[in-house]
Amino acid sequence: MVAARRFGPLIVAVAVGMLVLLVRMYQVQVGEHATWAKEAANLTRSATVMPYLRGKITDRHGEVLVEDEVGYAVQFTYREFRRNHPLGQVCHARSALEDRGIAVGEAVRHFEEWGMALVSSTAGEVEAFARGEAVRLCGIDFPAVSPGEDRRRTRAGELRFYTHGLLDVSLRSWNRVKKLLKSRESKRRSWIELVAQVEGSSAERVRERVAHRLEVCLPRLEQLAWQLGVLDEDEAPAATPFAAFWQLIDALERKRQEIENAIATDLFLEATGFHPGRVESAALLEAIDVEWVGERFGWDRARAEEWARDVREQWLEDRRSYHVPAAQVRTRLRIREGGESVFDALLGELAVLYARRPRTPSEWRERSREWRRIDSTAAFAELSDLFEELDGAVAGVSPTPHRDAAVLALLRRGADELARLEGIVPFEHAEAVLAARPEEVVLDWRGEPLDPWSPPASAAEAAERLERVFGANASSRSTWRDGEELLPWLVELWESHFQVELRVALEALLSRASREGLAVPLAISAGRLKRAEKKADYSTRDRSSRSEIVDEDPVDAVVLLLTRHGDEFSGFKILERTRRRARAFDSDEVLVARELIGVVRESSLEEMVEQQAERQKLSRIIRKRTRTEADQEEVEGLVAELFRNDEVHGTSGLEGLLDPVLRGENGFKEDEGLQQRHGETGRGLFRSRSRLFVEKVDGKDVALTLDVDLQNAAQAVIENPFLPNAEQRRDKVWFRSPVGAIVLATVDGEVLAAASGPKQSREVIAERDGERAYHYDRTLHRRRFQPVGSIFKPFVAAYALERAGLDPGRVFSCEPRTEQGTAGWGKVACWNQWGHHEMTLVPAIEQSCNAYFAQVGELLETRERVLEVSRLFGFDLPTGVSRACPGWGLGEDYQIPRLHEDSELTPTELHRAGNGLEVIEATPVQVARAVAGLATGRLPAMSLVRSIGGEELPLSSEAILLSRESLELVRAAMRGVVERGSASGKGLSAAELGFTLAAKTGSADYRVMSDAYRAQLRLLDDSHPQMRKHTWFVGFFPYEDPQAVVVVYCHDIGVTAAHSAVHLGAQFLKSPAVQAFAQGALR
Amino acid sequence: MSIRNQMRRPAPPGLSRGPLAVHWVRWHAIGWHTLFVGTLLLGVGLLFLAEMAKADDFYTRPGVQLSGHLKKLAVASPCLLVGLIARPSWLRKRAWLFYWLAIASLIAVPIIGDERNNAKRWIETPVFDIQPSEFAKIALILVLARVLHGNRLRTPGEWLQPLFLAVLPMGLVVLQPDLGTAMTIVPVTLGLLYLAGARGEAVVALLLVGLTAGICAWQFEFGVKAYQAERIDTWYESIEAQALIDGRQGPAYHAYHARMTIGNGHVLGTGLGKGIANQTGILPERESDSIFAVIAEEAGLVGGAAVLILYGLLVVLLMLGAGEVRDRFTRLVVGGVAIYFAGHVFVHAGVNLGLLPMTGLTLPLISTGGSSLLVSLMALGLAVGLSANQEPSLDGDAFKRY
Repeated sequence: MVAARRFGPLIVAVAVGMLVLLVRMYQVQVGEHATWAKEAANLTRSATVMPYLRGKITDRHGEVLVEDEVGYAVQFTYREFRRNHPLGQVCHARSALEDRGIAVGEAVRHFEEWGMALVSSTAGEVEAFARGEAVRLCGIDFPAVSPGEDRRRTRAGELRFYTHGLLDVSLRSWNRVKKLLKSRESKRRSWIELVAQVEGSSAERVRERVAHRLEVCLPRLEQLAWQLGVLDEDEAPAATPFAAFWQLIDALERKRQEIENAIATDLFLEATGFHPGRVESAALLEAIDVEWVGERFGWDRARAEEWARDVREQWLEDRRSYHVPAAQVRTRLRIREGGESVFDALLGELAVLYARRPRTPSEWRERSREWRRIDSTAAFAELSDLFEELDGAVAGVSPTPHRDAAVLALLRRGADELARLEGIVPFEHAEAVLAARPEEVVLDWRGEPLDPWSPPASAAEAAERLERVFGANASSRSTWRDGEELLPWLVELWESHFQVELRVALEALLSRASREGLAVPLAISAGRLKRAEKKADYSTRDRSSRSEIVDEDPVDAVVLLLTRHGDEFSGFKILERTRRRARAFDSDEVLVARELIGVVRESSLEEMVEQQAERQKLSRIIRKRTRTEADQEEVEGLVAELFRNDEVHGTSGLEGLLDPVLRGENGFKEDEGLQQRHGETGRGLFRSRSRLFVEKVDGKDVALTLDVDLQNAAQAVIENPFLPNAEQRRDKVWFRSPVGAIVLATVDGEVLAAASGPKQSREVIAERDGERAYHYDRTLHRRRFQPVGSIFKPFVAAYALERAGLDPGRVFSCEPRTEQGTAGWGKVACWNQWGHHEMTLVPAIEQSCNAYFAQVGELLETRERVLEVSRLFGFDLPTGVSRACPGWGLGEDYQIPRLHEDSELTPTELHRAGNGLEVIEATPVQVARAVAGLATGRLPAMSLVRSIGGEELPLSSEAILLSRESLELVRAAMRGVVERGSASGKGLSAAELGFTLAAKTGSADYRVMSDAYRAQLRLLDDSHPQMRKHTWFVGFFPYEDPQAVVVVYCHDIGVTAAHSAVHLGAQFLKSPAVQAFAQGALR
Repeated sequence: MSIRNQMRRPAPPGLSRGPLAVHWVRWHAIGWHTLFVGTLLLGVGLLFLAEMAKADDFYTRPGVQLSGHLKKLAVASPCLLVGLIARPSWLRKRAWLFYWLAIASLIAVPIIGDERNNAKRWIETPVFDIQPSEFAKIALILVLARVLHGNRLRTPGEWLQPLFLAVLPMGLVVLQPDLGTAMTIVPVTLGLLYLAGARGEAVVALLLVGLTAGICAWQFEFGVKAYQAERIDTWYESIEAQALIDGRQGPAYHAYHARMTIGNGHVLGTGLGKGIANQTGILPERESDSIFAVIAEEAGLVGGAAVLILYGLLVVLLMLGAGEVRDRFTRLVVGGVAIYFAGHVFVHAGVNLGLLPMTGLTLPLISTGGSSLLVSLMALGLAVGLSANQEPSLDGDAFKRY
């Protein structure tokens, strides 16, 4: 039968179709099963990293200085607040309703009224609003608009979302409400009535419930605010709960605006290809229509303009720390490769920082530092097709100030000056500095930033200012304290020219637009706006989802409040986290030896990005359904290697140096959420899985050589030194705001105390250098020219006796050379203007005769021999403090730049080298080591670490190849300094100290003293100092059997060591802590 | 004689004792085997939906509710009976009415329909939401059978009429947009044309023309919405497992989860209620458009294949039954229903297996969904009922002319 035959082929077709399906099923279910099973398994797996505890740092007696502590922090996420907190819901619902950004404070004032109005509205009203009909909603009359206008549909969607949140009903109930809305009658009823219906309750009861929720919301927030304390560190603590509440509301409002600004910036960046902060806001607003950036927030033009100004201001603020991180640029200058000049390296850095931003990771990696190759700069790289109406009209306009000859000439001079100021030498920790976050490097490396400079108003002014600096007036050079201060000016020069060129380009653009009758400011092309719009949702989610810690150390009440009543504080969350805690404090509640111990930071973005490949590898292993032992081993390796986001790393000081041992290894635990839900035995799918587990390993504890009591005593002296009443030459200004360092160490090299002052940034004093504005470790670092002065004489003497043919009985003269005195030798004047007449070695040391040691300097003859004597006592060499661990961060400034220059020392330099002036520079720890070497005949390696993980580190020293007699002679002379010389009568006698001390004082000229500086001094005798100085006091005790050395350093002071450093030394040595130590050491 | 006995007594061939629209069911002639297979499939659906409801309840998430499905089943079951007792002549005479009613409801959808997931496919009613496109399929089968009843497809005009009748609802469904339903109209139309006597080559050529037009529309984005083109792109690019995994966070999200669920099942499956789809609830539309994935996961290759074979059996039984029917209209309707089932199963399973671009289409008799259940039961009833109650055509046996 024909009809039946017709079904045959159809049945065959169906059979073929079924066969195809079956074959495909076989392929997917059998062939690809392993792949899909692995994917399925991953859906139920989650991994937890178990953070290790970083090792403790203790003093030599086991007193804890810093340690990790598991504690809490309060985290705030604006998105959570906006979506789930009634205040956030009311604020943003009202913003959607009125199509303008409602301030959180304004929402607070109308909170209950607006909230109740929302839940009392009807779905029909919201629908009419969405359709653009004329409608009265929440007490506002909305006129009719055409469909799609005023984002009515989107706004209505937001209204429904926030209304649902305010009603606080389950998703199931809400779905039932939505079903009810299928009837027209339901659409006329309020949300409250609908909820009441689905919940089987009365409208009045639901209304009461919502009203109660709104009523208690703000008081609860007030309670939190009061307990939380101040959110903004610039604000004073709130005096009342009410004030605290408003501070919190202000903070929330700031956050809201900040997020709006950030989203607008993202959109602008996406549309134009450049950050809006790159262009002066006035120029930007004049040329480009920016109203669209805030359309979704209901911004008006004024608000958009405010955004443009804020963004620019923020960009300028960030410039030093982020965009042009001085430390990073300077470090790159030091490690420049292939014989590149400082100028090229500088321009390379500037050009890269200002070049068009790389769009892809590969572009980022391949970006050129060769500034000549850069053909387009950050702003307006895409200018040619930015505006639809001016398509291609401005191709080729690309502001490139690095092609301006005048700018280049100035930058070349700037680079030369930088090289001079920086003494560009290789920098052993450069790579490590580069790996860290730039803003932290700036802080770590050189203390707090210098006072902000005022940016020049134009390129001409920038150039003029630089011209003035580099010009003929040599004295103006002293304005630049170092490259850190000069670099921002060079950046400013670049930036100013950049802006000028941009303005020229924009003006050309605008004149073209006006000729063509186009509206100004110009509208960005529709395609680009669409591109930005595509990113809007992502940006909104991203920016508002970024959490921040608002309280690092909340009080218990806050922790309880947020953990027990978390639902009432949506947005605020308690995080459990490990913190580095200081445990030992000085009298000002500052961590003992803070600068020396250093700081830690969390993992940087760069580090996290660098480990991306390893992280993916770990992820791949986790995703495997079955794993081998090799996988387990690999996981252990990767977990140990990978950083956590919140993992701390030592960036400076001992935290940096000891980071490799203080760090532990994170643990790793794989959880299977569904398995837990089904009980530990699991069922079905989950039964056969093996789980990854890696035990955490805490970091090792480290015991330092420091003694908390001695450290505090030293810190107290350098912070609050005092002058004896009998002192005739007083620099009270310095004593009120001292800058310097004190070191106490054993002769074996263990540093017992290493204090630096100031420990907090102090106001810069007129006429003095700016050092008191910085707080950093001065015992191992020197920012400035830091000669050692006469404390170098004993070392020169010991060397010269052995290797330069100096006879201790040889007489050198120190006679006045004019009627006014001016005794000295060559250009070196003796401190005693009438001279010491004929001197032999021991009296010369005791009296610290400059003329004598200028002539000894002549005996040294060459730079090599000066270097030899220096190195014999450990000058120009690392002290050994970093040998405890291969980490970085402690660093030390140990080199003497002049001794590494090619040119030979001039006779005057030799005279000065003999006196420790000009040529010889050192840090207090270097000096302490040299004195220990002199006292014992063995040069110790200095040590700050006594044991790691309970294992003591061996001490080491090496013999100084000088005869015992020579050293004894010098030591005796140093004892004479205390008994008869510059340190006599200063309270350092054995009777006063309780032990015998051998010492030496030293005063090294630093800068010429101005009259104004001199006027700051109180000179009760007829002295008339000409030079500002650094003064030193060094000693060892007991003289007969040296056990310890002491070094005092006073920076930029107007009087000599006998009137400054000696007093600090006496004050310190008489302190109870040192006295107790001395008694113990003597026993 | 009691009414009960009267109902048991078979009506004489060719005579209808009932009212005009219905006739006595010839129970002895009913294809019980076909109904049994259909009931088995309904049972399979109930079983898996019950497990889904249990899992959702266990994990306290809103989702599948068995009571809802049972309610729909209770409402839809009478449709099976309606299908069983419908009189062919009554249906044939009112085929145009049904068709235009279906077209009118499809036109009404954009106006009064409810928008969900960016598509307007439903008209809300107090009981459950009606999806007119589902009813349009049955109406199309009826009207095509009516037209092809006396149409030998010899002239272009004779071809144009059925093609136009098929393209009209297809176009309206595409506009909703509902690509899946549109895709099932194609095999029904082509199959009916073939059953009506069209040459196989002509039908294949028509299919090729349609495919070419579709490919061109996709390539040149003509008449295809951006998201539809994106879905096709995604499907085309993610036929391989790894490509699908790589794109799982983007537009391939649904396809990824469907294929992962199926792939996880292996040969014997994870066990009822123990599949990843039920454990996580992450597979979108797992109770309707992706229910085959759940079955294939929890019952494995064996269970999934069994369900497909059951469907194959149902289709073959229907076609064999149709082949024995002398009345051309009835034969075409029964054949059309068989093709309707075959098309639905192929598209539904094909989509979940990655053989076709992702589109939402239920699995007849198994998936939850009011309209789908109602229409598939009605179609099954019609097919079984018409096969059992064939009556001589008022126009005589159409095949006499062969």
